[in-house]
Amino acid sequence: MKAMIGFIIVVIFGILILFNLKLEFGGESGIAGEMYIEKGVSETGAVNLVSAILANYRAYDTLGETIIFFIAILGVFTVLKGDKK
Amino acid sequence: MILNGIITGIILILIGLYGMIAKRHIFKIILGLIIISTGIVLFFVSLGYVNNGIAPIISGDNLYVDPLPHTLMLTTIVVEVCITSLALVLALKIYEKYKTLDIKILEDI
Amino acid sequence: MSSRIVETATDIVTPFMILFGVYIIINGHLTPGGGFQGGVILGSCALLIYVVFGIKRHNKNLSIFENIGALIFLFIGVLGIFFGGFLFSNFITKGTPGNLLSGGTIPFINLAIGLKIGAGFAILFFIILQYIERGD
Repeated sequence: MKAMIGFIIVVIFGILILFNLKLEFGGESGIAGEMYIEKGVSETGAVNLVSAILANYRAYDTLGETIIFFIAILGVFTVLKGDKK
Repeated sequence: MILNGIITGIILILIGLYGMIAKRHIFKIILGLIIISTGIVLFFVSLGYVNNGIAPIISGDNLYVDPLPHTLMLTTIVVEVCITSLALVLALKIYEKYKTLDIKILEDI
Repeated sequence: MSSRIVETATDIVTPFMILFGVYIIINGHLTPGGGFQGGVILGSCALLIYVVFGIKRHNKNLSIFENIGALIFLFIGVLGIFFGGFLFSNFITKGTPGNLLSGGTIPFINLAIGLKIGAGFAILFFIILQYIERGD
């Protein structure tokens, strides 16, 4: 019963998304991407643009990401070693 | 309808959503979460593709792929690892205490 | 519990794995790769050692490395406030693009992230393996 409801919900969802979404594959890159490709090397000096965005333009995101990783380790440590008697 | 990366990503997200709704085993629900995350990564990386573009490592005047979705998906992968490890450890603790991972039985306790 | 063949093969393979991880980290601004990818390679090397030789090989000082990585990362970011005007600004000279010493603060941030992620994964695997060996 639950599987049937889930299947119907997913099928309706899928039809609504797949037939109304007008995203073309392989079009032009976005405004921010064009800006990074044009100015990225001269502004940061790194050839690899993914690394340039990750460690320079959006380093604040990376800081949050490392904090999330630290909290995950802390959670695993607490759950697995918390009840050592 | 041509099957490209965007549509495949959406189909993967729907399969993961079905798994999370319909299955009653906790481990299978976590597997659905992983499939949804994989579908999201495929969807966004395909969204940034440019026809005949090469990887965004600048060397000369070529046509390059949009580098922004790649960076954001790197973040997604790390967050997915964190969520999966925490969820698996919690499932381990649940199994240790109640000796089952079936949600139907766990609801009645 | 592992055999002699597995131990010998691990002895041979492990230095190359560490070398590959460090290569991925310090060439992160020139070739595909970066701090996260190289850190995961270092962490999986730690997992191989734990599985083959047992978790007695675990180093208690590993969590210090993780703290040092996070502190270097934050320190570079705060240094950017004083020299560049905003958090995480690229205040060192950029150099010629394509050289190993280019990119300003990006290689140092990659090193800090690699240290943090590698030590973090090693600690994560150690905690889970220790739980498995301790339980029933």
